[in-house]
Amino acid sequence: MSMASELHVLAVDDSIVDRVVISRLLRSCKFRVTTVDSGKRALEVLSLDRSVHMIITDYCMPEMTGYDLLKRVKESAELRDIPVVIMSSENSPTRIRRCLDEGAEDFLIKPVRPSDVSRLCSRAIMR
Amino acid sequence: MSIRGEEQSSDQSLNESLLLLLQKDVGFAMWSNALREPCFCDSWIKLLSLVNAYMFPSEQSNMRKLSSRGCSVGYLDEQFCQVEDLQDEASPNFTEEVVTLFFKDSARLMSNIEQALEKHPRDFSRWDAYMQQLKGSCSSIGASRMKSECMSFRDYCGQGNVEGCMRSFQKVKREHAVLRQKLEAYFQLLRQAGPAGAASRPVM
Repeated sequence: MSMASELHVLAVDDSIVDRVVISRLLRSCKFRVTTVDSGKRALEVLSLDRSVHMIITDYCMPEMTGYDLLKRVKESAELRDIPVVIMSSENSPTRIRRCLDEGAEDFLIKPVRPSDVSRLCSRAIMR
Repeated sequence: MSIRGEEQSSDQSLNESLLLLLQKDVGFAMWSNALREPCFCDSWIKLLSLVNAYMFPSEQSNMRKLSSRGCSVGYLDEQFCQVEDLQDEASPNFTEEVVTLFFKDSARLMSNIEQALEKHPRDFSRWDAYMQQLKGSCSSIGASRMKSECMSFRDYCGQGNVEGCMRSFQKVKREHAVLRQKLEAYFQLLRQAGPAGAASRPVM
């Protein structure tokens, strides 16, 4: 069973405010955190760094959405086992279903709460 | 709530008022109403000093939450308290850093919207996309009134209502300016009140 402090989370969000807040939330749960501002950058990091244990990504991002990133991760033999959590400010059942059907680990409504992150932390440690 | 020591503040009436509020547990409502009165605002620094002097550090956090709400009733929601809760000894200025970042980023987003309104007439899809970003930022720091105006703008985009978009964008800008003033004042007050008391707990 891993400890939270060994777990590396890649946080993806085009909003700098959201990146800072989610990063702080994750660090408060003792995750190690890398933040990037796009799906494209996320894939670059994932290709170079095999230590990522979880991806948490915003849904609405320009060029590559969080859903697109999720699909690319799940289509990759090297990356498909990394759990992907989607965040969105829109509480759209269609969007949520679409992401979960594509293999998302969870779907969080923004603003993300400490209790949401604690839940992710507990599940990640149990893996 | 426990109160440290037996010493009385030099301003006994203010201290007694504070104790009364705490004991009756109606602090938030009374403070938020009282803060609308200019004379009470003048004593705000003194109140925060009392919080530092007379409360245990664990209680100071709750009182600061009340004070931030009191300062910005209606302008900020619970999310702002969540952000403040992320502040600790390792990140003692986290809240102010995030707020500073928000105002810098939101100014940029509003500039984008302004340009889009001018250069891309009736491009509601573009306008909406920009405003969605701004709304998201507002939501992240708990800027509830500003967020509400952002949502209004997006509703007008959905209706294809140019006039409505223009009017609500002006409101977004006004709320942004007011919120900036209030939060600048809040952080200024916090700085003047001084850091959390480092004195040891009293003998009870």
